[in-house]
Amino acid sequence: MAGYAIRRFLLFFPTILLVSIIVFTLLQLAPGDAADIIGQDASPAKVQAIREQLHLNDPIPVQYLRWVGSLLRGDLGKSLFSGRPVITDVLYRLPTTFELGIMSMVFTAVIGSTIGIISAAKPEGLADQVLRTFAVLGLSLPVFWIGAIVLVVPALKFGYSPPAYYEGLLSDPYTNLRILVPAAMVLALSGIGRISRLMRATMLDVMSQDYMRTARAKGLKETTVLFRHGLRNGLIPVVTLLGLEVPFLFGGSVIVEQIFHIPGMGNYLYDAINKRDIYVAMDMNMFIATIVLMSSLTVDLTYGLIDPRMRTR
Amino acid sequence: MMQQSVAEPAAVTFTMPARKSRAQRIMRILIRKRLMTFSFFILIVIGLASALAPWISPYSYVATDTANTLSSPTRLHWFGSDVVGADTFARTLYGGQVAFMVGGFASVISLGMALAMGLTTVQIGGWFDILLQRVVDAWLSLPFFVVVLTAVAMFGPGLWTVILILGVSRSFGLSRVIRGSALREQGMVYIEAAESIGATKLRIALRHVLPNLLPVVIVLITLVFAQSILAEAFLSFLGWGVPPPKPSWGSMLSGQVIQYMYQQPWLGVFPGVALTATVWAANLAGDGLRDILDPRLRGQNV
Repeated sequence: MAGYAIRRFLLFFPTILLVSIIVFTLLQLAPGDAADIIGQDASPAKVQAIREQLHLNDPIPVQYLRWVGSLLRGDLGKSLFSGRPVITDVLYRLPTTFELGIMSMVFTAVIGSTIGIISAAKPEGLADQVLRTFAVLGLSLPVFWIGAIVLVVPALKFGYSPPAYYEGLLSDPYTNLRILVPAAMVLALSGIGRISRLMRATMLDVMSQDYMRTARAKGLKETTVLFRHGLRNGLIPVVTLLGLEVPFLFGGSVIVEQIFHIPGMGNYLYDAINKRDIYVAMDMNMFIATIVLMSSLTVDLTYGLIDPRMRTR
Repeated sequence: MMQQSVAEPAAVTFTMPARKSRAQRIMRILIRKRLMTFSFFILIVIGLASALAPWISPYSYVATDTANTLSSPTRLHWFGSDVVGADTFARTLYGGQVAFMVGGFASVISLGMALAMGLTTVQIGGWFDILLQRVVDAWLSLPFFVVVLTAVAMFGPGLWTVILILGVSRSFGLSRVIRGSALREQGMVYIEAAESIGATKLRIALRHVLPNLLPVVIVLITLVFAQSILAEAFLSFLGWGVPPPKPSWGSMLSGQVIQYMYQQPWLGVFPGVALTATVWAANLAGDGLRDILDPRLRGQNV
């Protein structure tokens, strides 16, 4: 296990290095640079001065190294417009998105695996066919449309609207939850589709195993067989897929936070992009990719703990 | 007393089942896979309606009827009209053109690139494969939609920017699937046979491996078609997709539109239903095709 963990951990570094190269290259390929953006109406001499000040005339590899160097020192740089350090804004907004993500993840895991288990209990039965079709619907629903429906329909039918201003979980839990619970539910829909499909497939796989037949032959109750022997093994791949949900959560949060007016990371990224604040955008991409990589690392390590067969791979 | 009776062997009549024609076999699959057939039907209907928009729609997508803004569905405006009085029916149809363009081209581009990467990496192998797979790993750890949004914003919105960026960013992950299938083919005896008679690597990749990957490719194209349409709608919703005046199902719900939906809920109905129906149908069609063409992919999320 130790060997597996170390090998898996070491793989983290080259991957994150490549991620940084991809993000940097992507933004270098884009037309225009930071100086063009700040000095939109300024004279060419002024733009040149800004370029000099931001070290944009240095060779590209030097610029890359300077960027990575400051990231390693924990310095995420400053916004081109507000001048505030990116880290201040990120730390302010992180708890909100974290809360949204965790809640959505819980919905995804609980509802998704329940649907998957019901589906697998009687494969090709009526419930299974209906649930499978709806799982695909979950994958296909546009988040922004469902978000709009969740806001507009209760307002028109019952005159109910969620609070207009966002409050933190600690300062005003009631207001906070009235905004975040529906948002997390909307965000969870596509994940529910993915998890329930996987849960069904793995449960069907597990059900055909010899140890399930043995358990039944011993005379165990069907529920015991299903939950003690089936579910325990069926949940393992679901753990992995939950880890893979993290990037989807960040992508979806950009839209959900926009609709529900939640001041989280997605909202921050969206503002940065709209203002073409490229350093913030670059850092946010890097920051989110790091979280994604760390969660997949955690998942792989947990996986190794749950399922010893994985360690040798 | 016991009498052993041996049953007379029944006269064995053996008739070869009549060989079914290709059309008959396809018909049987279509009947057995009703959901898939229905999905294809939906896709064809929406696709045709969008393609024929100039002939079907009574209005252009920019024409405004200032006397009837925010109207409900009426005989004049079948799907209602928006805040400037543009006809929602026309805009929904023309929005379908954008959706099908993006879905079609982005999926073909990403599959083309994925095939090129997957086949090359399997044929060259060695350090090239190791290196490329690390790049794919890195790319897969980037949050897809966040990167796409950033890239589109930096390169500037536009139909072809969106198509290219969606196609390219999706291709890395798909190349992993193609590589897996190509590696499986590579281990087959017929590849060894081809190698033994001196076939070049290029010939093996194109003449022997590629045709056998066709089922996987067809399934993936359908699923990527659905994902690209959804991604374009998300981008357009955020204002970074296909720029106005060209309507897209995403941009028809973006910006202030949600505010106007409190006054006129019909605004949100048709673009949302069209988008959901298209993506749902494409996903279901992809699932159906997967069951028929490549059972090994079943239960995988690609």
